Amino acid sequence: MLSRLRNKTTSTTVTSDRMNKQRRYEALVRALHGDLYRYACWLVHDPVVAEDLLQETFLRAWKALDSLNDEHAAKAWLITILRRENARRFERKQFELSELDHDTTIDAHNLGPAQQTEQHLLRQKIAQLSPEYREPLVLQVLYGFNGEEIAALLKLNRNTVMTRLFRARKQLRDAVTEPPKSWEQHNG
Amino acid sequence: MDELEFRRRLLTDPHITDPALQQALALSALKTEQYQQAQQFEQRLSQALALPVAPDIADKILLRQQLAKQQQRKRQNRWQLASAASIAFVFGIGLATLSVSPQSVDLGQHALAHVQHEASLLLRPPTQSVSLAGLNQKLATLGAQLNQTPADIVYANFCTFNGVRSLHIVFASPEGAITLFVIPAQSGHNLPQQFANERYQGIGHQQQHWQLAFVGTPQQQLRPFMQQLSQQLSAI
Repeated sequence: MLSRLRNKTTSTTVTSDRMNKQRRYEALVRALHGDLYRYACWLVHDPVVAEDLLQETFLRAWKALDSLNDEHAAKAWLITILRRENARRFERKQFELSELDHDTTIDAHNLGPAQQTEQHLLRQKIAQLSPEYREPLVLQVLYGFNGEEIAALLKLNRNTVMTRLFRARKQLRDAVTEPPKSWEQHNG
Repeated sequence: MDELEFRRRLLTDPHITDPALQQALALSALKTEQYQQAQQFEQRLSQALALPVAPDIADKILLRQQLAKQQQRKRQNRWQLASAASIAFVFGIGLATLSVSPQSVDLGQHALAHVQHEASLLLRPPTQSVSLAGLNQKLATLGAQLNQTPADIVYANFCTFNGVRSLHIVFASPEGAITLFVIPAQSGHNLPQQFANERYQGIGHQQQHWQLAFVGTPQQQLRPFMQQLSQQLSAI
């Protein structure tokens, strides 16, 4: 009788543990899927592949959820999983990689026509950045990570990260701002 | 803050403001304008990076996880069933093996129990009620014969000794009744050289393919009797 009672309590603890885990997981998905999806899009340039990658990442996150102790570290944790999954994808189907159209991620938004064109242009330029410049920029602007955090995530030196951020912004600004006045001189 | 550092700052991390930057902005209208431009660009950049996300994507992720969980549980159930079955199988085999071939039975304790159970035999009058020829007739079925008996034979008969047909003999030695079991040797049956309980003692002896168990009271000297007897015992 006593052992049956004890069994019952353990089994309810197990069930409630499971339910807790499920609740934690759902909260994690709902809170962080948006930015992670965007990150994946900038990483792979294809919304369909990005969604697959996102699915794989969250599935892996579910299996490893017990290893996530600190909820504040969840963002970085998910990004690490996603980057690993992406690397795996490259190993797996390298032959399927073709010249991806950099425009695929760029969709129209609910903005005015002029703004839309401007944003379209900027997105195009971001997509054309080399990946090692784009990734730190996305982590900084989208996620608000600082230099050290980005360095830790990408396993790079902090100075390297800062240099890349600098070059990424410089390339983008040069590309979207009006051409310098000096072009007239060249023409002349 | 010099021009170069200011530009580097605006292009690496334009959100950070510290006293040095504030001071630089306060001193120069041009820098203030550049700073504001940088902030505007930052806003455009974050808008551009924030790609639209399909509203159902979170549900898709949760659905996929639920399916995976279900599958995992199914796999787990199958595994549990398989392990339960194999444990039952091993248990069954083990039980069968145990009951078929009892491992190393202690014949000494068995002999003591046997004597105790038939203690009335020891109380028989110490007169020869079985002849040597009669004994040899029985011993012959075990492939043995006794050339001379060291003492009168009070009783000789077959008995099952832990599943083995053996000969149970009681001698009337000068020191009192001594019981002898002649047991065909069998693997797994282990007869210790010496064994005893609170009432009787015994010694074991392996001779050719027989195991001989002599049992008497603790006061009796069994070893001389065993030596006399084993000298006379031979194969047919």
